[in-house]
Amino acid sequence: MRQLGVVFGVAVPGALFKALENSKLAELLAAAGARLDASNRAEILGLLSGSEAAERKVAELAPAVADQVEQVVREAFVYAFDGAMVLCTLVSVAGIMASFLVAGSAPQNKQVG
Amino acid sequence: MALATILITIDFGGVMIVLPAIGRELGTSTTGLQWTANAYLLAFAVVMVAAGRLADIFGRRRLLLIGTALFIVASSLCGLARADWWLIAARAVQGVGAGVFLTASLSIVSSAFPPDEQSKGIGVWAGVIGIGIAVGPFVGGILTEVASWRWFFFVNIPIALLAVFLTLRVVRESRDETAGRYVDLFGLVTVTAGLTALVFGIPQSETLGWGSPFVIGMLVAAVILGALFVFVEPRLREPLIDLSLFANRSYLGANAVAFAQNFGFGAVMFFLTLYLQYVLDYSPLKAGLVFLPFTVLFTIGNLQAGRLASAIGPRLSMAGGTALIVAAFLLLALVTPTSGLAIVVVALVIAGVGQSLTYTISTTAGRGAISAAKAGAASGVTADGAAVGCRLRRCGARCTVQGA
Repeated sequence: MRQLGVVFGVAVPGALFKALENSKLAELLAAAGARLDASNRAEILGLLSGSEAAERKVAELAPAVADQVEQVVREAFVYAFDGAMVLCTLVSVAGIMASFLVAGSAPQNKQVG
Repeated sequence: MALATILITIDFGGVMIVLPAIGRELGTSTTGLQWTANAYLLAFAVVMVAAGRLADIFGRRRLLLIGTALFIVASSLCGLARADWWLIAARAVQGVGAGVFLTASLSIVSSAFPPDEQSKGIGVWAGVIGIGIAVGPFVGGILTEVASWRWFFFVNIPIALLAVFLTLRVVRESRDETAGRYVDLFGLVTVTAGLTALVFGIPQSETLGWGSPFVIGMLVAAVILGALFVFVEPRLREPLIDLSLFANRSYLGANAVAFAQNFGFGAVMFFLTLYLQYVLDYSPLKAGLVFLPFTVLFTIGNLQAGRLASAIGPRLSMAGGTALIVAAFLLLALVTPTSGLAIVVVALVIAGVGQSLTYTISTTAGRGAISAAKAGAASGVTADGAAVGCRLRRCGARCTVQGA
């Protein structure tokens, strides 16, 4: 159960993270005047990890746009990060509720041995 | 035992720190990085449930050596990986090896000491796990920075080989002569395939869309396999997982808390690592150091949580611990590209305390809620921490049990 919690803690917020990151990136790039299709946007997301393909893609953009791209990618990342943390908050709230399923009468607290 | 156990637990937290470096070198996407972590964890989780039984039947030392051998081979393959699919496959094998090893090592440690001294042996074993979790991110950071992410995996090899040598020299073969030779392969296959389909399908939803045949197929497969598992398991004489345990509200609640706590643990380690290295441009070592308050408080808090449960009861202790985790996530949700490190460190301190309370107390509360006759089965379901809790309690270590 514990290991599965970690597995889903990486996978489920990960799916939300990607969705939020892509949508925010599209929105911010459009606002910056860059019209990129989904595959090019996906390529550009590699900029933060130092991907050479992402840097080549940015070099193809107009200089005025290229200057803003790294900041845009950073903002999209943090927006998605915050969304993932909100999801984790909700799961943890469910955890608080689940803790009330556990018997709560005065514990016997015996030292077994 | 301690030597190789620390390797495995260092891997849990440490690998998260090395992920960005892997992403840079292999050009791995965020989804690929998720799988680099999850292939190991998923294999580890599933194998742990069955490995205890296999160790009882076929011999604990034999299983331990098989697990360590798998871990060595897989660590070599991880370090040599030239593509993300290669690394992910090797990580899955590494998870199998680690799961087999850790389960067999607990059995060996608990059977190696006379009853009145078992608490010492298992106490050391549990302490080693705590140290491994605490130093994992730091070790991952320093190896990546000084050498390469590949050395995070290569460094396992000599230490694991030494563990094999010592095991052959010191550990005697033992098995449970009363254990039946039946292993629930049906349960093992359905639960493994179902979970894999679910964990594989969810991340693809963003790329392919929820309506894509692949995503729908994966989710439908997960539901069918899960339903088969739930339908067949109660009808087996010796099921892989005793689902009747979940009819107990306290046990169900404690496991749900354990799941939620670890959900947060995985998310914090994975996403915060990326944030620190991608957005704040921290080096792997610096990112590893940022996690120290979290991991150290987590380890210290685990040792003290029993006292709190004794004073106010497990329900309130777990609710309080989880509330701290909520507060930490709310703080992290306020992070911006320029908010800096302070907010992250405060959140990690709060999360470390909250995580430690829920980790330990959910284990003891879950185990305390069921009868001694089903203690072994419950350990397997809650997995690692519960197994430790079970042995500690049996040995009379400092561990509180709630009277159900």
